Amino acid sequence: MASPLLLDRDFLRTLEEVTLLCRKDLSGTIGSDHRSRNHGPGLEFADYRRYSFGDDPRFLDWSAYLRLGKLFLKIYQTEEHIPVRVLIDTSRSMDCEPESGEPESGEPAGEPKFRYAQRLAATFAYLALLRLDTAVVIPFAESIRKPLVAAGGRERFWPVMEFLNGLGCGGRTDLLASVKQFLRQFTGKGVAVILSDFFDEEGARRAVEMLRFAGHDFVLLHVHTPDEQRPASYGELILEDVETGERRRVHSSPEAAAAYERAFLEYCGRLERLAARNGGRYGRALTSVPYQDFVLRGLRGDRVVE
Amino acid sequence: MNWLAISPLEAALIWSALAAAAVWLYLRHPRPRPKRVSTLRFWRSIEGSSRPRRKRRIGEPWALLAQVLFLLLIVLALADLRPAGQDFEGRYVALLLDSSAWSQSRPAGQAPWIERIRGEADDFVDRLAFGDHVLIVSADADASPLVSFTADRAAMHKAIAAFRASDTAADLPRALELARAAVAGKRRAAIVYIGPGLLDEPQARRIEQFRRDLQQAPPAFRPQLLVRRVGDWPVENRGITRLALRRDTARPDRWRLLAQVHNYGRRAADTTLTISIDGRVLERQTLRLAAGQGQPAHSEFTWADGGLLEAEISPPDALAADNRALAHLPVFRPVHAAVFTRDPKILKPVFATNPYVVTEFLPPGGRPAAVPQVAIYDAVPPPPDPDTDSIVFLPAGAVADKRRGAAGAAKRAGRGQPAAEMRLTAWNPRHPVTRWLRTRDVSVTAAAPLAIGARDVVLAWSDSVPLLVARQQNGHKQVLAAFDLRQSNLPFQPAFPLLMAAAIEWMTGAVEEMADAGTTGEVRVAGPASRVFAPSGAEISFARAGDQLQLLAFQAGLYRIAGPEGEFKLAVNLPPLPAQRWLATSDESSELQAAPPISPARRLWPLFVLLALVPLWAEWHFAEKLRVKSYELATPPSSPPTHNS
Repeated sequence: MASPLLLDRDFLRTLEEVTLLCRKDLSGTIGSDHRSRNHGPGLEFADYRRYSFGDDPRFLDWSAYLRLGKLFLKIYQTEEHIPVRVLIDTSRSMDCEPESGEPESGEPAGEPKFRYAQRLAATFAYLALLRLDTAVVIPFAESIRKPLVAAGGRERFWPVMEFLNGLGCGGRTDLLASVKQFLRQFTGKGVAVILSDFFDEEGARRAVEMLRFAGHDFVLLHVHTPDEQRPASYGELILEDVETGERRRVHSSPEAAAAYERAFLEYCGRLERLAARNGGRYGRALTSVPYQDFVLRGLRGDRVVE
Repeated sequence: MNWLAISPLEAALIWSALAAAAVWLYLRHPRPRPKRVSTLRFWRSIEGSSRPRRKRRIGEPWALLAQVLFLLLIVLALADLRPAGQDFEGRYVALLLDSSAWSQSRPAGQAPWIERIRGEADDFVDRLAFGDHVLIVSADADASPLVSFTADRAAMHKAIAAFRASDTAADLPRALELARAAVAGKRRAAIVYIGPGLLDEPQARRIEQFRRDLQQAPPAFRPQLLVRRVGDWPVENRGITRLALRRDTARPDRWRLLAQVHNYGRRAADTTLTISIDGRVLERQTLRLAAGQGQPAHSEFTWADGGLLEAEISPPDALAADNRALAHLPVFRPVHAAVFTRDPKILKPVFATNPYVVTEFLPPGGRPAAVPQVAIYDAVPPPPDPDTDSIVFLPAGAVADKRRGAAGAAKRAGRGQPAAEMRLTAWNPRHPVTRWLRTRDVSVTAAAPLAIGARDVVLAWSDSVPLLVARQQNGHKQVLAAFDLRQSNLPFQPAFPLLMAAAIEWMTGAVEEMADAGTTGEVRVAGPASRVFAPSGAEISFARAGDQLQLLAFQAGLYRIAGPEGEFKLAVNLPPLPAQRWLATSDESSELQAAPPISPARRLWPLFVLLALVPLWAEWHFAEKLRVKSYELATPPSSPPTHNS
């Protein structure tokens, strides 16, 4: 039985040193801990600039005038509120247990895919709340379901945990319809983190384009189990798609598994290129890797967090 | 090679079955396992690589061969092979099972002895060490092996189950001698007897001698003698030990019967003896039998027809086989003789005292009421072609004519005239008609010379002159006397009735005077035979010894003997059964000596097990090679780096 704590306390303490990176110029509400590239009213000194007629004289640095005989203005960094919206895939395809026993690669089987996605969703929500940003958790399958909006700091994280724990899997994946609905409901730009297995390639492509057009800074986190990357079972199998119910009889052998893995990795590559072309970021979350390592190292490597 | 645990055929069958199972497992396509996945699209994209296999093939033939070789070596180890030529350490045991009539005993409230013998034999066989060889002999009047030396337990139990009791008395010393001969020269041999152990005095003495002979053997080759007696003794049994019948000589249709009944039990008993012929009861007698004693029973009855006489005692007792005895009564029919004579005074007294012949006196040329079996011509010329057997006394005229003719011939030949009176000087002792006649007091006044044919037999001479001749003519027998009875003193001799009776008997066959029955075991019967049938109807073998035939009768009942002159019946009954218990010594009552240890160095199964490890390792090696090769093939040379490292 899964622990109700999606994130342990040590990891939460560690997350306080981590910051969610934004790659785009997102106009947010001022007052967050989230640093923006914009300069403006703020508390942190950023730079000097020569005084021009019309500038606010309150920001003149009189010490510099006494020394240099010229007028300089102090510029401060603007700290803006950036909503972080986590779209978590709750379709049936996310409810796959990893293959029991060790596959040929010797890697451990890992934890269930949806559980892993829940942890990542909780992580991003916590990161947002830490910086006094708004965290929105939006479950989706064929369409988006009732979201949870949290704001006001880390004290608001526990309802997020409870909400995530209460989610279940069901329905088919329709990423495009879900993103369309998301964009209609959430019009402000922000960071959109999509946690899914992205087995709807055409839908993912169009959804990503829509996110780009909407100006969101999106992150695609591809969650999958080790046996989804490379099958661990050999022999005669009758495979049934968990969403469509389609059945197929296959013979799984080491050769077939190798071909499968090649196809899978090619697909991952296409997703990554898709994200990059559209200004987003892509991360592949293998459930056999502890989520802490993935967040602290993997996402850092992908420049999602720092 | 000795295949101790299983036979070569069994080993081959086991290995074939295991090898076939191994090949099947290698080729087996397990039923496809269902699996729910979210990545079916990727399986579709690699359709060629993941197409289900249609053709069965062996992935690693060397591993399969190694496994089959491993199975062969394991089966050979199970077969417990031993190199041929080595001294086999098992024992040789001759198991004698008493199949005499006593084994049929069924005492009240107890199991039949035959079943106890079988049970004892089965237990004994099961307690033997693996590899002991057993010879099983059925011991009755003969000693016949049921199965020759074998280590096959199943064959032993089958032979024991098929073992049956006979109606004979056991000849235990004979069976023991056969067993000793069978195990002669074998080390660690044993002779085991299982049965009631009942002997008579001569057998007891022979067994004592047997024991002494056993002690003469060297210790290494001296077989152990064991006795396993079955059943309590004595048992309450009464039996008919003898049945004999004789005709009354004065009245051939009257029989005198003698039956002997013995009480084997320890209590006096009243027994009813019932005599019946062809199911018709003639008489019942009650006999009071003392314990361990026999008593004769006599009876007389008149019975001219033949039939099967049965003597039976009641009430039933422990052994039913000796409660019944049979005897075959031959038919009696007197001979019908027609006497052609002018003067019956001479011959009437002769036949008046012969109850076997019914005579009809007729004048010459007379016609008898029925066709006679024998025609007697007293001084009457016989017909030229007689159609019956006949006795002819030549008439005086024929004698005178023949004398004149003989005298003329003698004169012409220069010989003297025939003597007027001749004394009979010799009888033919080999012919049935005259074999009992010795008298020399017969004289003949005148005798005609008889022409002796090539197949004629002279029965009596006077010096070299034949007086009596036996001939066969046209299938009929004839006794021809060369004289008239009135010209001889033969009618006044005591030999004359004997001569007439013997002549008639020679012509018509002897009347059986006795109706004795044989006893089971070795039977000798007079007469030629071509086939012999037991009471069960089965044809049995026999041997000829001169004019007798010898056969082994294991069953009591009526035997049919078919010969050139027809078929006759022989009744065979149980003999008097031995009633003395075999006293076993303490050694004979002990257990079979322990089996000698088998030298471990001579067994090959450890070698086979060690050798089997080699193909076992080879199979793992080939299978592992396949697995690694498959994995190397399966792992792409350069996989895209994962984002999780």
